[in-house]
Amino acid sequence: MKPPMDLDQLLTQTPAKDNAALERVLSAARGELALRRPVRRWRTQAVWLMAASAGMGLLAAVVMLAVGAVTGPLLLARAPLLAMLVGTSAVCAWGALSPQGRWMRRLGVGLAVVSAAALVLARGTPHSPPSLPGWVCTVSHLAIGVVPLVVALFALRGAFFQPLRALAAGLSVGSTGALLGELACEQDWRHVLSHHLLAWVVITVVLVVISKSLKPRSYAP
Amino acid sequence: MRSQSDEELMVRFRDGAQDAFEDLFARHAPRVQGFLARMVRNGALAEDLLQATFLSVIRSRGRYEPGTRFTPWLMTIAANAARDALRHQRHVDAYTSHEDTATPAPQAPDDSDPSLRRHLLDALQQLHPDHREAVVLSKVEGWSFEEIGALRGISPGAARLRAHRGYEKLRELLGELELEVAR
Repeated sequence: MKPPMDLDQLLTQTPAKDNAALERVLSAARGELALRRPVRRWRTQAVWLMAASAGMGLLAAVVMLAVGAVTGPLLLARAPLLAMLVGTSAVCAWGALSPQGRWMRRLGVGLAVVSAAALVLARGTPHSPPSLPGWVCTVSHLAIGVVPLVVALFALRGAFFQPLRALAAGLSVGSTGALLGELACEQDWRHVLSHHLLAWVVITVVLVVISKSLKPRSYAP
Repeated sequence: MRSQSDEELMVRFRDGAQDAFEDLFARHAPRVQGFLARMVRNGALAEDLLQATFLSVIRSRGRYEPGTRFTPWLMTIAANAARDALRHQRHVDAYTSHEDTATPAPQAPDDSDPSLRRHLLDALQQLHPDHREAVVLSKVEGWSFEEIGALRGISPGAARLRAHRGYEKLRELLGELELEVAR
C-alpha cells in the first residue's frame, strides 16, 4: 500500500535551483552597485523630514515677526502649543521612517489627535472680525506643507508601503500648516476645525494616496 | 579564520564594503529563490522578485539596523516584494476578467519538477496569498507566529489562524489529488 503523503516533508523539499536566474540577478545587482549611489540612512532622512517641517514653521515665524504680523509676546503666549506641534511632527517623522517604529507611529498618531484637540480647545474668541476669507487659511496650510510633503515622499519610497507609516508621515507634514495657523490665524475654534484641521486631514490623505501609488524603490521594512 | 556572520557582513556592506554583498548573495540567494518559487508559480516573475529583493538590500542598506537578524530582514523584503506583485496580479486578473471572459490558458508545466512537487506548487497558488505566505514562512522558513504577526501587523493568533487555514486547504487540495491518482 502506498504510504500517506507527508505534507510537511513535501513543503520543505528544496525547489530546483535556477543557476542562470541567480547569475542574471547577481549581474543586475552588480550593475546597481556600480552606480555607487550614496547610502541613505533612515535617521538622516528622518532628521531631514523634521527639519523640513520645523524649518518651514520657523521661516514663517521669522517672516511674520519681521513684517510685524506677530509680536514677541504673542509668540511666547503660544509657545506651548507651538512646541507641542513641533514635538508631534518630530515623533511622527521618526516613527514614519524608522524600520521598526510601530509603537512610535502609534504614539505619533495619538499625539497628532491630542494636538488637534488642543488647537481647537485652546482657541479663544476673536477680538475683531476676520479680514480674509476662511479658505485663505486652508490654502496657506496646504501650501506650506509642499516642501515637507516632497521630502516625505522621497524618503518613503525607500521603504515598503505601510498605511500606518504613510499616515504618520502625512501627520508630520500636516503639522507644518498647523504651526502657521497658530502663528497667523486669530479666528475662533469653528474656523480651526473647518479650515485648519480639514487641511491637515487633506494633506495627510494626499500623502498616503501618492505614497501608495508610487512604485517603491525598495521593499525593505 | 572564523567566517563572518550574516549580520557582520551586512554591517560591513552598509559601511561600504561591496564584497560583503557578494558573500551575502552567495549565502542567501538560493533560499530566497526557493521562497519566491513557492510564493509565485511563475519563473519569470519569481526572478523579477528575486532581483527586486536584492536591489532593495542594496538601495536600503541604510535602513538596516545593527543587531537585527539578517535572514528574517531579507525574507521580509522578499515577502513584501511577493505581496506587492500578487496584489498587482490580482488587480490585473480582475481587470482582464472584465475585458475577456475566456478561460485563461493553463500554465505550461515545468518538466524539471517531480509530479507531486509540481502539484504542491500549483496547490499553493490556490491559497489566499496571506495564507500562502503564512504557510511558507511557518512551515518552510521556520518563522514563529510572533514573527509572522510582526511582519504583517497582526496578532500571533491571527498569524497562526492564517497558517492553519492555508495548511488545511493545502491538505484538502492535495488529498483530492491523491484520490484522483488512486482511482
